[in-house]
Amino acid sequence: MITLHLRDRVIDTAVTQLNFDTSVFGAFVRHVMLMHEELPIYSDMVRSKDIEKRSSPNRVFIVHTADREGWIKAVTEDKLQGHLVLTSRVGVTQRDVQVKNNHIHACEWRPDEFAEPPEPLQKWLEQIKAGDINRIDWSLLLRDPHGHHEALLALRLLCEAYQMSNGAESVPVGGLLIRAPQGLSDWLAPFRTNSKTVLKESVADLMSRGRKEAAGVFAAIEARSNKVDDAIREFLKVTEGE
Amino acid sequence: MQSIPIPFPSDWLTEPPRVVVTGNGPYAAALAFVFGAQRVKTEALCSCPPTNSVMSLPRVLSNVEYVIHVIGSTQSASDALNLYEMMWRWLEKLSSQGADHEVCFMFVVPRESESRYERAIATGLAVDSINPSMHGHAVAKTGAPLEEIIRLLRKTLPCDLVRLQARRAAEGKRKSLAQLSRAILVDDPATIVAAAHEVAVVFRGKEHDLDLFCRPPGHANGNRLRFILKSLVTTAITPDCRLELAKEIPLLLS
Repeated sequence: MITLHLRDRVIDTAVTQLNFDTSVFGAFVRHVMLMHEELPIYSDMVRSKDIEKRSSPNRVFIVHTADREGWIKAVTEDKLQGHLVLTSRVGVTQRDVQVKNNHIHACEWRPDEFAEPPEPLQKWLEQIKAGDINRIDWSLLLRDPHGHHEALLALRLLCEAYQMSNGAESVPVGGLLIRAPQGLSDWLAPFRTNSKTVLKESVADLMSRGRKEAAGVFAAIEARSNKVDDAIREFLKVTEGE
Repeated sequence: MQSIPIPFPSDWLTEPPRVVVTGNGPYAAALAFVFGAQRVKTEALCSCPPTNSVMSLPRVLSNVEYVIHVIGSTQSASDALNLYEMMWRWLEKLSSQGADHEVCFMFVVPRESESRYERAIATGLAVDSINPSMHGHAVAKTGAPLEEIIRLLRKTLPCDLVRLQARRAAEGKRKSLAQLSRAILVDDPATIVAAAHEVAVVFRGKEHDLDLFCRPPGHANGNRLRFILKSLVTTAITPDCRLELAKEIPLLLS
C-alpha cells in the first residue's frame, strides 16, 4: 500500500496493487508520486478492513484491484468515511460500481492513461492536489459522464446518412437500405428517452463540440430551408476527428 | 385472464426485422435508424426468450441478416460476448432456421478500446483474429464513418451457430476447460490436478482470458475460477471440496 500525505494533510491517498502488471501500475504510481512531496511506501497488501480502519472524511483511497466486486461488497457498510476510487488494468466501469454508497467511485481511465492524462483526468488530479475534498468533481473519472460525446457521434451518423442519400428518404448501398432523417422528429428521435418529448435546443446542448452548428442543422431542418446541406457540412467539419 | 407477455418487441410481429441493433444510448438508436433496424436494449436482450416455454413463439427473427452490437464504453469484451451469446439464444428460439440461421455480426466497440479488446472478442469466438470475410464477424469502433461500417458489413460473411460451436469445440482453451469440468466429476485427485494444470498451461500469460469463458459477471466469475485453479494445483483436494467444486465450476463457465 502506498499512502500519500499532502502538505496540508487534507487528503491522503492510498493505492494498492493486487496481482497486477507492475509496468502498467508503475506508470500510474509514478504519476501520483510526482504530485506529492512525502511518500511513505508500504509493500503490504491493503484489504477493505484496512481502508475502513484508516478512513476519515477527508481521505481519498485509490485502490488498484482485480477484485472490484469484492471491494464493493466489502466496503458498502457505511464504515468508509472518505472516498474510495477503484481502478483496474482495463479501467473500472461505472456499471461495475453501481452501489448505493456515493463515496465509492469508478475510474474509467486506465492506469497507463495517468502517465499523460487526458483533460478531464488532469483536472481531477489537480483537484486532488488542491486538497479540498468538497471541491472534487468525481464525474471527471468517467470518460463521458453526461453522454455528450456519444450524442455528437449519433448526430454525425445521421448527418452522414443524410449526405449519402442526398436528402432522399433512403438510398440502397450494396444491398443495404440506408435511411436518412427527414423531418425534425426523425433527427431528434435517437435522443429521446422514455418516450418523452425532446427539444432541439436540449439535443444541441448535449454536444461536446459543435453545439452552435448542431443548432444550425436543426434550425435549417425545421425551417425546411435550402441551407440544410451547408449546415450539415459545417457540423461535420467542426466535429471532424471526434 | 392474465395475458402472457411476448418476449420481444411487438413491432416484430408486423415488421420482422432484417437488421437488429442492440445497445443503449443515442448512438445505438441513430445506427438503428440509419439501417432501418429494430433496436433491442441491452437489458431486454439479456432477458432471453424462455427456453422451456409451453407456447410456440412466432418466428419473428427468420429474416435477420445483420446483427450490430453497439457496446457501451462501460462494457468489457466479456460483456460484449455475453450479448452475442444472448442474441444467439434469441435467434435459436425466434428464427425458423434456429442454429442454422446465417447472420453477419458486427461489434461496434468503444472508440477508446485498444487492440486487445478486439483480440479478446476474437478469443471468445475461437478465432485468431477478427476477419469479416472468413468467420462472419466484424469489429468497428464507435464513431467510425458510416461508409466504413457499410463496407465492413458488406464484406462480412454470414455464419451460423453450428459452425461457431464446432470451431469452439476444437479450440484448445475451451477443450481444457471442458476437460476440467469432466475431471472434477470423478473422485480421482490426480486427474483433477492434471486437468487444472492443463488449463493453467493453456492460459499461461493470458489468465485474464478466463473471463471470456465465464458466465456473467465475467470478471467476478473469472476471478473465482483463477482462485480455484490455483487452489487445485497447490493444495490437496478433499472429497467434500471436490463435490462443492463439481457443482460450482459448471455454474462459472459459460
